[in-house]
Amino acid sequence: MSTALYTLVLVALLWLVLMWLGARLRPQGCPRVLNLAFGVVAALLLFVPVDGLRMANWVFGFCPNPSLPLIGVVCAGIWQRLGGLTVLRLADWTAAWIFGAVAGSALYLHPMVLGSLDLYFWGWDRAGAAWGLAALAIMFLAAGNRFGVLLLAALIGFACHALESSNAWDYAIDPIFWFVSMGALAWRAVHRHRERRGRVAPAAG
Amino acid sequence: MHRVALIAFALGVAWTTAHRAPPGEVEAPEDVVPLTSLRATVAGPENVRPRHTASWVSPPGHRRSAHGSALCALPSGDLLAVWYGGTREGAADVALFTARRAAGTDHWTAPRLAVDRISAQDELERSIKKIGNAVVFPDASGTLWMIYVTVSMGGWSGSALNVKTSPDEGRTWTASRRLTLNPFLNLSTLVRNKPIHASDGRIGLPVYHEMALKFPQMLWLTPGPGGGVGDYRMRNLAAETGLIQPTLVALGDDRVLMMLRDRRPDRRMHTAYSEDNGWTWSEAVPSDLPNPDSALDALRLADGRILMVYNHAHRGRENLRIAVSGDGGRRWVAGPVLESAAGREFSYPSLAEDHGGRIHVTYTWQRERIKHVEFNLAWLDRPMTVATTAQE
Repeated sequence: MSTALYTLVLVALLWLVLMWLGARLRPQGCPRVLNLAFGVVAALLLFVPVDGLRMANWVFGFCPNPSLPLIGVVCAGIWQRLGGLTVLRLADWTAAWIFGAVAGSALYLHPMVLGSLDLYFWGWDRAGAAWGLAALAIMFLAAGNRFGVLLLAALIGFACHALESSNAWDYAIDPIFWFVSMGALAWRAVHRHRERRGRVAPAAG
Repeated sequence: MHRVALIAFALGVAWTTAHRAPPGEVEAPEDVVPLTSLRATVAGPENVRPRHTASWVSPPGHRRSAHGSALCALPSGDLLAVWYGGTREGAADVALFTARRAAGTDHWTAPRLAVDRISAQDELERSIKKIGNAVVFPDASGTLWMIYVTVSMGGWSGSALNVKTSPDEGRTWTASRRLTLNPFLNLSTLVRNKPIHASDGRIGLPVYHEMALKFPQMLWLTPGPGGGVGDYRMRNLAAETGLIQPTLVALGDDRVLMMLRDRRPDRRMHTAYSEDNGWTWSEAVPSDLPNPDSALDALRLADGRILMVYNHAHRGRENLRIAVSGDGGRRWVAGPVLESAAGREFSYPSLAEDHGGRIHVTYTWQRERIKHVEFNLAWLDRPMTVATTAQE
């Protein structure tokens, strides 16, 4: 994919994120004109040059290879918030966060533990990486988990060389998705712990 | 039903992608060869008498600071040098400049701007904070490559590599292309020294990583059909840390020598060997020579010896010396001193051998200018230089 087209996709994604944030901030029952005006302002914001670069290029510069699952979960989250449709169910979200946490930890932390193992290198083995991504996607799809569709998107992206990177890992995982996945799992764990304590506390009292 | 269709689709995409993958893309090269266009003669008639000259690549007052030169012998016989200059290392006004010395002449052309922060930002469509080291080298087809460092955030450990190519030996350059070499936001890959060339056309460029752990890596570049990068992949070396700026010398018979700058307290030049043309490497071991955490360069002479230029000290970059090895880099014989002055800096040498077998070195002269020294083997082998083994 050319950088120009890729930047355009990122602009669209950022615009959706701004719309989502706006929807959360705006009061319920806001007039349609105001909603429309917010959408236009959000779009214009993305093209305002800061130090000679559009906001989208700044984001692109710092996160040049957003993974397909990250783009997918952002889109699904926005769609669910704005459109009220269930794109990913609880089990699908759980699968996404577990995949992000496991794949990210393995990829980013293994040099500190297993220095001679070079996992990232194998992402350049096109044949091996394609079959690996396909196997993962099929595993989730066969189990009826919709996260498999996002892994299938990663496989298609890799086949089309849709990102700047030619390494399969970058299509499946990125540091932001890893951090978000770890955060989501941690938040769930804390939430569950609180719930359990809340259940136990009255009995103890 | 739709689940079955998706699974079938996934299998189809995987099969198509795997089917299109070129064979041998993750295998060691069969051989490493010197580029035919750059092969030097052992000794021409002009090399019988000792010859040693010095000149300046960057003119006086060109930029307040100049550093990190890289030299390249071109297929036409010209020499091309690239270096970065600006207010100081890491400043926003630092740019890469090139200068040429045409074959048969003894003067360098005026510096020409190759890329600065703004042009890099425009070409790469992202924020660029500063520009750093660059290397230039031709591929087997004669296309000239420039690989250079840019930083978008943080210090040098936040570096990424970019490629420009030139069809006319550095007179014009294509737009920059970013290489994705690191899974973590593509941060921390740097370059300093020239590559080796595989017989299948692949280019093995020694690079290094600096964030958290510091270690050498090999970047394998495959030229595309239209010139420029067709494909690339990177291999981490053995789990050695604190060693950076690898320098490679192809020894023949599938052997390659790697020499490394030492950032650890030991301050010793380290060496490692590859028996499969640079694909896998032995553990790096300390050599007898000191290294004051400074870059060095080496090349294999037409007569088979290895010539190295380096700072012979544990601390400081106050001298720049030559050493020669006749046994593949295991033992070194001290050669002439190129520069020596207390409290000054002479560093970052870059070596090239021209078609006539003459040796050229460019290096940083007191962080102010780039100096060029040319000599031949007769000068190198003068009786006074046949000295004892280089000891600390």
